[in-house]
Amino acid sequence: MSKNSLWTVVYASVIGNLHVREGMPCQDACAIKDLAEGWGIAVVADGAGSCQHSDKGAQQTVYLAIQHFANTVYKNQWIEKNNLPAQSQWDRLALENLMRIRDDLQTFSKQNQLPFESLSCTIIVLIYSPVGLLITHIGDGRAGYLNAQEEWQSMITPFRGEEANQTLFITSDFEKEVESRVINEKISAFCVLSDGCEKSAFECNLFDKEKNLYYDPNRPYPKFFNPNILALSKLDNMNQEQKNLLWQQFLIEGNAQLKNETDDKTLILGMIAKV
Amino acid sequence: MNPFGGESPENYEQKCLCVLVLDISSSMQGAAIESLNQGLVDFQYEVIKDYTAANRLEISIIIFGSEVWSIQPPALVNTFDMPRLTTRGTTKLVDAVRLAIGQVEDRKLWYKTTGQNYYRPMIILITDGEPDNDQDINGLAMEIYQGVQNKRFLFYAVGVQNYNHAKLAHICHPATPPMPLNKLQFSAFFKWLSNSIGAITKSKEGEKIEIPPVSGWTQMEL
Repeated sequence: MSKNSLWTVVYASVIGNLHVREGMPCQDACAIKDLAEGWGIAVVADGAGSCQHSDKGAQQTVYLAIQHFANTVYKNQWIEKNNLPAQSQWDRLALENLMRIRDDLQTFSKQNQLPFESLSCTIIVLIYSPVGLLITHIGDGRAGYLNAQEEWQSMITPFRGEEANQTLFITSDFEKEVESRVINEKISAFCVLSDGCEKSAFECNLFDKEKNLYYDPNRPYPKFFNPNILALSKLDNMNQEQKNLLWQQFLIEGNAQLKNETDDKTLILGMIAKV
Repeated sequence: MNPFGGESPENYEQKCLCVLVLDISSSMQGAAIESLNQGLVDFQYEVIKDYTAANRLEISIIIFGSEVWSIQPPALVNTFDMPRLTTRGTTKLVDAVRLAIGQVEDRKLWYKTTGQNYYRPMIILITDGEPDNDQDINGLAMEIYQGVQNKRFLFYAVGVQNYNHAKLAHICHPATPPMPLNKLQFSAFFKWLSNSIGAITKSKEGEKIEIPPVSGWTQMEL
């Protein structure tokens, strides 16, 4: 993140308790790329727990996503025009890029003699800009944004199968299940997270006493995000590495829910720097 | 001091049902039933120690001798006391497993109608004998095969002492043959089970659920 960027962003992937206990690697990965003029890309990938090389799959998927989606931004001159594409165009471009990532991952699996399925991971790609957001994803995880009215909104619906631990991966036949959205409004903050952070940061499994029903409001939790936005706004004197280190510590044991979480945790939090 | 902070919301956990189907026929009398009782207590302790599993795992207990009794309906493991089992009667194994399959379907329906996420339920059968002659083991074998194949539930069987391996293997799905218990090591088995459930309730991909390797309590390699 350059010093002159419009955005202040923190990001980290930390290993979950279960993976520490079992000597497994962190299977989450994330990255951001600052493009220009307040445009950038944030990517989160979450490796499948039961797939042997999903840590490598997640890392490679994040790397490939940054390359392909940056090319799309440049090629379509969105930065120069400072304009977001129409929903239909974004749907098409996002799907094309996700399919390219899958193809490249196939090549990676062959070159490294790793079974393709062993690289399985989910993916969320967010393009942030001064004029709004573009998002696309395969599988679970969450994403949200803070609008001009200072209300937190969700951006995606996590893909879930019948059972709680079923989802879809970049290695799956995902063509009909990709969700892409254009958020065509000025926003002041965003978040992208793997499902290891969802219980900490989103209202996602509440109980309605009147209806006697459990439900998923898919709502970013303001009491989680607002204090962190405030804290982030006060870290101007730190470089990116220092900010990320503090963020990483927070994700490891910042509150009881984060501390007790067994899954790997990734959270990218960005906000418009106050000018 | 870290400037980052923030409260987390009160979200509920998704559920994982485990139905224990336990043989209390007369042949389990003595050391076997005592070891099983101790194993159940140890199992409860192991699960409660695991924060996530304790909030996700629902245990149901069905016992069988000459009759079948559902003595513990599905409930979170820290909400009830483990029953102390005593032996009686013969081996209505098929009736008991069928009751477990029905309970799994009922609970899944309840999860769905109340909007709850759930993991694939598992049925654990523990027996030291062979089913009574009037028990339809062929029919049960078919039901278990279809249930496992169609991912409706997971089914594991543990054979104690002089159990009939051939008959139990006939009932089990070919991918998960019966596991012989070594020297009444129920506590070691239940520790493995709590670890397996821990892995399932934290697993990411439903298509393939990896359970920890067995060690100590059985002579077979999974």
